[in-house]
Order: sequence, then structure tokens, then C-alpha cells
Amino acid sequence: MRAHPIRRRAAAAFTAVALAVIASVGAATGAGASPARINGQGSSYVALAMQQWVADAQTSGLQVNYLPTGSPGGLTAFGQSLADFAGTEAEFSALSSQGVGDTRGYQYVPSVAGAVAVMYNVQDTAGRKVDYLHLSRRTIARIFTGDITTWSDPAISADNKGLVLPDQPINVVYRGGQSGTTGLFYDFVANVAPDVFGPWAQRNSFPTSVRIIQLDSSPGFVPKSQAFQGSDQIAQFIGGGQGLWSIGYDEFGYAKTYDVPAAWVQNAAGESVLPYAENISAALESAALRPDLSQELSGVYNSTNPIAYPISAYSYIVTQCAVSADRPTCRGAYSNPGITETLTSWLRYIACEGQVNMARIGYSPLPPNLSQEVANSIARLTGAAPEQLTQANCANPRFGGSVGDGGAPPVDPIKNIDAIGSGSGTGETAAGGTGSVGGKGTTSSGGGSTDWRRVAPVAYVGPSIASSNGIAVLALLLVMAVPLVVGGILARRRRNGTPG
Amino acid sequence: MSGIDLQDPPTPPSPAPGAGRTKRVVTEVPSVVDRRFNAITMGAGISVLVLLLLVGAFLLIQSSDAISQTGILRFLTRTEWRTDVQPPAIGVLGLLTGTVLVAVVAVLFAVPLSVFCALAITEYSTARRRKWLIGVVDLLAAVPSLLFGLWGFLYLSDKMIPISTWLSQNLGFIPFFHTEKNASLTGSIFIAGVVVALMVLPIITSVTREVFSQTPPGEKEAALALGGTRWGMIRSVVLPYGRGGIIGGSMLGLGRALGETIAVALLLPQVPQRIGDSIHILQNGGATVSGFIANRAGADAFTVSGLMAAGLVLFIITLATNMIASVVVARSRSGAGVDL
Repeated sequence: MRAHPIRRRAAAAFTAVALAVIASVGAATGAGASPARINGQGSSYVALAMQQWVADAQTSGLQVNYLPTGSPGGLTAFGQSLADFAGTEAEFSALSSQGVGDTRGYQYVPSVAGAVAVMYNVQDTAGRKVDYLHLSRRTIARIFTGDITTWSDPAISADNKGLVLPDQPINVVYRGGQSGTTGLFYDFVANVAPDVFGPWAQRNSFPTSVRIIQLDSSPGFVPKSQAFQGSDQIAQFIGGGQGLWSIGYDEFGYAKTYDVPAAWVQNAAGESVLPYAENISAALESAALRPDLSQELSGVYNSTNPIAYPISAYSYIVTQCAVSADRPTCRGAYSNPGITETLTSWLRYIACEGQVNMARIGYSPLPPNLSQEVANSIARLTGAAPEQLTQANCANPRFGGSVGDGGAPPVDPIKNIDAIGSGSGTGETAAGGTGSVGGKGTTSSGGGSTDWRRVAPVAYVGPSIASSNGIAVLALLLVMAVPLVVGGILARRRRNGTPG
Repeated sequence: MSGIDLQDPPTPPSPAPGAGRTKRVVTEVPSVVDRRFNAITMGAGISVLVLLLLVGAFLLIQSSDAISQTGILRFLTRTEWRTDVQPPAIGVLGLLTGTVLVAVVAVLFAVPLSVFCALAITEYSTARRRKWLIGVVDLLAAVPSLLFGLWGFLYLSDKMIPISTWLSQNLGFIPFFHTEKNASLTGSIFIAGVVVALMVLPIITSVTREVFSQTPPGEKEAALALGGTRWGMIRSVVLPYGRGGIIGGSMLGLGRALGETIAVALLLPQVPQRIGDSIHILQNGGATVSGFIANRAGADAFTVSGLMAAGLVLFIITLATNMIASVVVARSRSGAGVDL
């Protein structure tokens, strides 16, 4: 009997809570098109751009999350409905995920253009850091298939006007696990040097019909190699002291973020270029887009445009769509209309405002026709007529004919030099031409900046541990001391409080 | 005894005369609240067991695809992990070697440190400092393992290189310390083990501390009274008394180290060690089951199934280690009152 009032009260409380829950659920579902939180994962190639897009989405009140787990993982998660959207450079079939997305239905929405940079950490024989390394496409392919194993290889000298590097083994840094960047890079390798690639792939029993997305299943693919799990770690390692004599492939944005030198790659026109926005967009003019917007890149790898950077590719956002292949419309594909609402507003932002800053952080904005394709994809999701994007309603700098700030490439520091000495002896540079390459900076003859690596403003500055060391340690100690001090005070009070 | 005493409780039927007060039968009629409480606590206890079984069953079901395609024996004895060839060939042995090696390195570093730490706390410090020290050591357990990993990757790796270099140059004749020519010494099992050692330090310290603090004061005083120094007393009384606790605590730490994930996922390249290769703990390389799973989780369905199978193996090994540890502690003289 005694329990009754309590029980009654408890019951009342329970009913109140239940009602509140029902009410809130009702509010969530009843409001219909109020934006819902969307989660995506996939490509780390696009992760730096995503960082900005997600941050901008948050400030404008859209709840967007993105996890750079790698393209293959993103596509799998999307196929299993664990993610609302995925980021990828390659279509499902190229990443051996054939059929993964079929049950769900999908469309490829282009998001940005990017490039894979070849990062390195090398010194010349005098011990000076080399930051002007040039590599031909074939040399790159031979290095990453274990055909060139030392830095003193004549092929590298030939690419660098006779510069002879020390006789050190090349340490190839690669992504562990499954990665779309690995897939893209080795697709490039397979395309530019099939005679080297074929036997190498066979020796390591790598697949040749789809892209190679995982190298560590055969860790001996080059004599000396080292795996890292993420783009950040690769850039950090190569840039750091332990990364000396290393070379690796990574998204260009990370080279900027961590200030790691990226190799000048010689394209099919014989010109050496870095992956700046103008070079990426020039290369992607040769990309062949299939009807579903996915890309065929062999034209890019072999582009004869003199300013084209050959390892460029578009990145895509994969969203849900009708299951049928011809996709007249994707309307109502997401069961929660709030997801469609968030996704479409966000995609509209990516198509235009989202492109403004891309050149600065190592990407290249979408060309107008692909921005328009984003608008068409939005129309497919909403079922409305597609919005026509023009310079008036879209901030994408490509509509105005430029790629935005930071997109112009620097001047090749060794272009007008006849030969580079190996820097032996006194350490003075033997430069027999109009310019010189030496220990302290470079001079260029083209009238550009004197320091080509400072040409483009770096958007993100890598965290410097050293500068704020003292304050950080102090803060940490303070935080750690709080529980101890509080505990001590409590203990003393308790001691004083107890009699005796 | 006259039988007139009314205060006497009702005696059980036919007590033997002269036997005095026999044992009273206590009949307990638990109240509703008691019964509820009993049911709730029992339910909580059983639910832990059920949860454990469900986890095991889940892993078994999820891994069945990979195991049936590979064959249980081949899965356990192979080292390569290839899902990009047909038929896929996956084996857990390369991961297991790495896991065990990291855990062993961690325990080798952590046990002496923890034992001395526990001795300092129980035997050498004043009551007030004891509280401080316990708090500080426990604080170490509160640091997220991701932070340990980042710290190890960004800071400790570089600082450990000279030690690794020295070990390989001077003790290279010991097979484990051998390194290949020109090998990179970052991201090694050795460095990962040292970082994990810091993470298992609190658990080993707290178990050994608990055990040491239960050393009978009489025995300690006897040792001191016989003229022993404090260190002599520790050696002859505290350490022998606490041996079971040290072993058990170490094994418990081993169990922890086996399952440590994020830090090793960051520190090791997570490329499985191949069986033909000799083991190089000082040079770049190695993978652990949990770190491998963490890095590969976003992969195709078959890979995930294989990862589940690897997880199942780790689950069984960790469970066995922890159970052996608790048995060792409970059976030792010192550990009788210690709950693990």
C-alpha cells in the first residue's frame, strides 16, 4: 500500500516523458522538409575541400558530417546505407565494388577537380634540401613499380638536367589499406608505362581489370616501402626528418598544408608542371565524361596541352537516386525528405560559392558545364526543373573565366638552366645558364615571384607544436591539477568535519 | 535449561537433551523490495554474461563467410591478407604475431615500472603523498588512447630512433633486434609497444598496489624487527607475498595491450608480418588485429567478414588471458581478497 503514491507518481512521470518523446518525434517527422543531419564518408582526395564545405555548411545551419575513410570504404558504406552520401573519384565498377550501390540506386555529382602530387624529401650530395625535383611520367611509373630503386638513377638525372643525387635507396611511401587515391595513381602508372606496369602487376598478382586500390596485400611491390593510413600522415612523414629519401603520392592540398615539396611532372607536351588550379583544369579538358558523368582519364594522363598536369581527376559526391539505370528522376529517393533538403542546399552551395576558394587550397574549380551538371543533379533529387547557372547567380570563378586566387602556377625554376651540378665540392651550384639553382632560394627568369613555393598563399597552416609549447604545457598541468586540488580540499574538509 | 524460560526462542523439534542451543534455522522471507533488488542485480550480472555471448555469436555469424571460404585451418596458419585475388586468401597469423609482440614489449616495459611504482606508493610514501600518487597514476588511465597514439606518432617516434639505432647496432646479433640494411626505424613494433606500455601501466600498478597493501603488517614488522632494512623487508616479505598479484596484474595488462587499438593503428603501418620473414621489432612494419580492423573497417563485405574472423580470434585470446589472470590472482595467497 505504501508504494502506491510513489508508483503513481512514477507512472505519471513516465507518461509525461513518453508524451514528450512522441511529441518530439512527431515534430521531426511532421515538419517534412526541415533540414536533417546528413552523414557522408569516402575519399580523402577531396577531404580538404570537404573540410571547408562542411564548415561552411555548419555556419549556414546545415548539419553535414564527412569522414575521409577512403573512396572504397565510402562507396561500400553508401551501398549498405550507412552513409547518406559518399565521396569518390572513381565509379563503383573501377573500385571493384561492382553492384555495391545497385540496390540503393545512385548518381555521380561532380564536386571539384583535384590532382595527385608526387611528394618527396631529398638532399643533394652537398646535403642541401632539393625542392625543385622534376620527374617525367615514365620515371614516376618506374619508381613506383620498383624499377628505379636509387636516387642516383640516371633516369632521375636526365629529368633534372644532369643533377646527380646521392646513391640512396628510394623509400616509397604509400597508403595502407584500400584507397581511391592509390587507385587513381596506379591507373595513371598503368596508362603511361604499360610495359613496366604489366609484368609488375602480374608479379604481385595485382588486379589489372579494375584499379589497384590496395598495395599492402603485396608489401614487396617495391624493394623499400612504408605504409601510412592517411593523407595527413603521409605528408607529415615525408616532410619530417625521418622522411628523408622518401617519395610518395598524395593529394596536392596536403603538400601545401604541410609545406612538403611536390615534384614537377613532365606532361605529354614535354613541359614540367605542378598541380596548380590552371594546370588541373587544363588537363581535365581532356577528360571524357560518360553519360553518368563518371570520367575516363586516359586523355588526361596523356594530355598534350603544355600546361596540363597529368595526374588530375574530378571528385564526385555519390547521392541516392532511382534504381533504374537511365535515371529520369531521383525524386523521393531518400525516405527522409529532410535529407534531400539538406543535401540539395549543400550541393547548390558546392556548385557555386564552394568553388571560390578551391584554387587556394590545392584544387581547381569545376568548369561551368559541370557546375550546371550539379544543378541538374539537384533537379533530379527535387523533381523540379533544373536551375540555369550563369555568372549572375553563381559565384564559381570559372563562369568569369578565371580559376580564382592562388590558381596560377609558379615559374619553373630550372627551365632555363642548361645543367645542374651535383653540388659536390664547395657546395656552390654549377649553373651554366641564365638562372641558378642553389642552396638559398631560386631565382626565376620569367618575371614571377622569386620564390616559387610562396606564390600561392597557403590556406591552412600546419599546427606548430614548438611555438606554444610553454603555454600548452602549463594549461595541461592546470587541467590535470584540478581534480587533485578539488579532491584534496574535499578530503581536508571531511577530515575537519569528522569529530576527533 | 529448565524449560520454563519463556524468553527462549521456540526450539526446533526434539533437541537432543544436553546439546545446548542448537543452530537456529533462519527462515528468511525477503520483502518485496528485497526480491526486486535481488532480481535487478541478478539481471544486471546475467546481462553481462549474455552480452558477452552475444558478442561472440555476432562475431561467429559475421565471420562465417570468410572462414568458410578460406577454411579454418588455413585462416589460422596463413599470414597474407589478400582480398584482391581470386580466390581471396586471408590469414590471421601475421596479425597475431604483431599483436602478441606489441603486447609482450608493452608488458616487459610496464611491469617493472608498475611494480616499483606500486612499491613507492604502498611502502615509501606518506599517507598524503600516497593519495596524490594514486591519483596521478589513475589519471594516466584517463588519457584517451588516441592522444597516446598522436603523441607517439608526432613526438616519441623521433626521440626513439637513437635508442632503436643503438639497439640494432649493438645488440643486432639477437635475432629480434636485427634490422635490415637501410630499414626505416619509425613505426616499429618496439615504439608501439612502448606507447602501449604507458597505457597498461595504470591497471598493472593498481592491481599490484592493491595486493602489496594487503601484506600482513605483522610479517612486515617481524622482518623489520629482525634488523632488515626497508628494501630487505620488501624483498623478503612484500614481493613474495604479492607474487600472485604481480603475475595476475601483468596478465591483465597483457589482455589490455592485446586489445589496444587506436594508438597502434596510428603507430604501425598495419601491414601483416609474413611468416617467411624474420621478425624485426625495431624496424618499420607489423600489424595488430585490432589496429588492422580499425584501419580496414571501411572495406568491402568479404574483407569485413575476414576482419570479424580476426576479431573473433582476438576476442577468444583476450578472454582466455583475462580469465587465466583472474584465476592466478584469486589462487595466490595475496589475491584472495582482491576482486578483478
